[in-house]
Amino acid sequence: MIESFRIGFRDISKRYGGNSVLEQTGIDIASHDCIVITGKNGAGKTTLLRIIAGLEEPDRGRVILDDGAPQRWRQQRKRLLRSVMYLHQQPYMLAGSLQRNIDYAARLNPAIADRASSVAKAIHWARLDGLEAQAASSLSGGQKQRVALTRARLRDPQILLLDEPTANLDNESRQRTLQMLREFCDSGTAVIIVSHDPDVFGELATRELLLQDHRIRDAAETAHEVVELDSVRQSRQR
Amino acid sequence: MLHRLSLLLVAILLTAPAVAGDVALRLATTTSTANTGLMDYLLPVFTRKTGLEVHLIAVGTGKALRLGQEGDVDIVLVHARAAEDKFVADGHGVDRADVMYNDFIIVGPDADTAGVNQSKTVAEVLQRIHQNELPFISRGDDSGTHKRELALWESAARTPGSSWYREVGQGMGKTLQIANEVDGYTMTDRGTWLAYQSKLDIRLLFEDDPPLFNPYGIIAVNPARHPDIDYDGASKLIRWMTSPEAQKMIGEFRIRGQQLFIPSARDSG
Amino acid sequence: MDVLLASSAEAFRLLFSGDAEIWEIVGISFRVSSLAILCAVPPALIIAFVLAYGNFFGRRLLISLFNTFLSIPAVVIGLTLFIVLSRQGPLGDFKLLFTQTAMGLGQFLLCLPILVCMVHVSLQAADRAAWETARTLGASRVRAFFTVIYEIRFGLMAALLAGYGRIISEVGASMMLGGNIAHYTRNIPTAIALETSKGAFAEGIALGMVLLFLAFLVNALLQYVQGKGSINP
Repeated sequence: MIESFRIGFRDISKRYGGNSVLEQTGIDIASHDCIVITGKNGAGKTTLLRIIAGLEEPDRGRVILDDGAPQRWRQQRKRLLRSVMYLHQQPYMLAGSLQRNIDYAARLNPAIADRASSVAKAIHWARLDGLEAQAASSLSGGQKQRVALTRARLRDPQILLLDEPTANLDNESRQRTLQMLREFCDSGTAVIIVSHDPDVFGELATRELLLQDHRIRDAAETAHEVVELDSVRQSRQR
Repeated sequence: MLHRLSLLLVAILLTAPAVAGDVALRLATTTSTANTGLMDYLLPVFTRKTGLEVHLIAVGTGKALRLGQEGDVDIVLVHARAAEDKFVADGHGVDRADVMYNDFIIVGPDADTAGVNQSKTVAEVLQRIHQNELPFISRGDDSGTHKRELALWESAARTPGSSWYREVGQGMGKTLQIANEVDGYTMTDRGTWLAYQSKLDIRLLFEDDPPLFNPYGIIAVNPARHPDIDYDGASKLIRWMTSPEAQKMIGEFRIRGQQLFIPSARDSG
Repeated sequence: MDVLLASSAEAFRLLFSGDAEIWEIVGISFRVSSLAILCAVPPALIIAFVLAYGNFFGRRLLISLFNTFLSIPAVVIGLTLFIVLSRQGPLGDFKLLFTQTAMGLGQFLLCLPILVCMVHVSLQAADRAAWETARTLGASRVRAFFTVIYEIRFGLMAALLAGYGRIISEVGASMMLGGNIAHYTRNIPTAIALETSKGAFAEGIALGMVLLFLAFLVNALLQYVQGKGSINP
């Protein structure tokens, strides 16, 4: 179980060239959260995730841990890298077998005492049994997704970030992915999902946010924004 | 896999013979002594006698003297009397001694339209080539041979320089090959000629004129200029090269049955 | 044509009669070039990494610079080092001129840009996600660095071969810096140059064939390793 925690991001701004992507925006995250973020293409959703993950430096921004005082993002970068796990839209498979990919993550977690059994358990948890020796790069999209989630499981992050995790998955893979995400939330991890298709996470999501005009808004806050959100959904369906 | 490969490499490197120490005496000499095999024949005897290893660096005379001047070698063995005297006069070298001499020869096409083989002196040879404007291949590389060739033109009162005179900027072997390809004349040391003769169509046309004799001098680099050179080792080599033993060996050295160098050290027996 | 045939026949005889001098020359070549490239790999990897993932002023200029270094004639590297290592030069006190070290140093400088450029290209072709995945899984920078290097190992292998190919066959810098000293700094290319200038074409061709054979061996090794890789990428 993850100990309960809260992390707040404040005043996050990021520009690329002359274009503003994020402007003075923020997000609050707590254990057991499952947040779905929607927004138009190019709205800055991926950038936001990468800033939360410690991978991309914002031009400005502060981070608040639990009840602490706000601190610069840069000062918290190491901590973010340590406690936040970011999954790429196309999960990256390291060279070698599925076993190596999972084992790689287990090696990096000092809390794991019995690596062999932890890896075996994790593989079983992801229903990847029997594929251990297979080259990770030759797995299907759904299987890769589950390998990435299994690596994340062994990492035991406070926050798990996913970029369009269910795009291009068939229904069965999608259900398995959702089941795995639910187990992350149950164990206390905060899960943040960027998706064009928030309906998929309907019952899982504890909050739906909309990234619009460089800012994060609560999707249900105003009728206007609900309409906006609907239009996003409609455009997606069309 | 990378690990295994690098382990293999490291193993090979470790088992390779140890690097020769940097205690060796450094001798810069000209390609004519090195390439004929003379030094490979002499130096092992010196090493056996004195325990001194000699590293032989074969370059042109100009570069050999330059290496001595900079203190990059301990001793030089070259053939360019005027440059040697200047080297000593300028304080770069000391203890110059005559060691031996060989000679230059004039080679050219079999047809020999200039009639070089009927000349009485080398000056006449060059005048004939100049007059007929026949292709003459010059080393053009500031080597001892090149310097000698230029001096001979001067004493023949001719200035080479038109299109028939070609400076190739290469070693003696290459120069001979080029002369062969273009049916040209050139001046060469006898050693290189003997090594190449069988592969060439041009032939020996003129020899045995005193201006073509080519004395070799050995000079230690001045220890006053470069205190950390091996002056002691250099002195030993000079003493040995001019000793009756080495002088006798030089006289007996043969390539394809022919004597190449005539010993000339003053204290030789 | 007769010369070529006779030379080739003589070459085979020299190679397989176990001529000790030829094998000593081969040993020196192999040893110096291997050491040079082994020393060049770590700095090349780090430079390539910084060029690929770094974000600093002048990065593009540096990349262009290394690309330019690819086409520097070996003789220029040789001459520059010669001046630096000569007793009158800035590093003259180390007495390195005409040693295997000087020769190795020249070869080091020759293969460094090749390694840097080729590894840099491999890194750019590889997904940046490799680095980020390792980092987010909790790998330290050093650990993530080695993870990414492992990901591009085939590109690295190709770079090693290209670099090795350049320095094992290079004559200008080795001649200038090593001095072609028998049993010490005489390697295959300088020996070929010497034999040729002596008119001993057979020995020259024999050494050329040894070089060819070595190159073939190294390439076959790479093919073997890459073949394994493609079965299990």
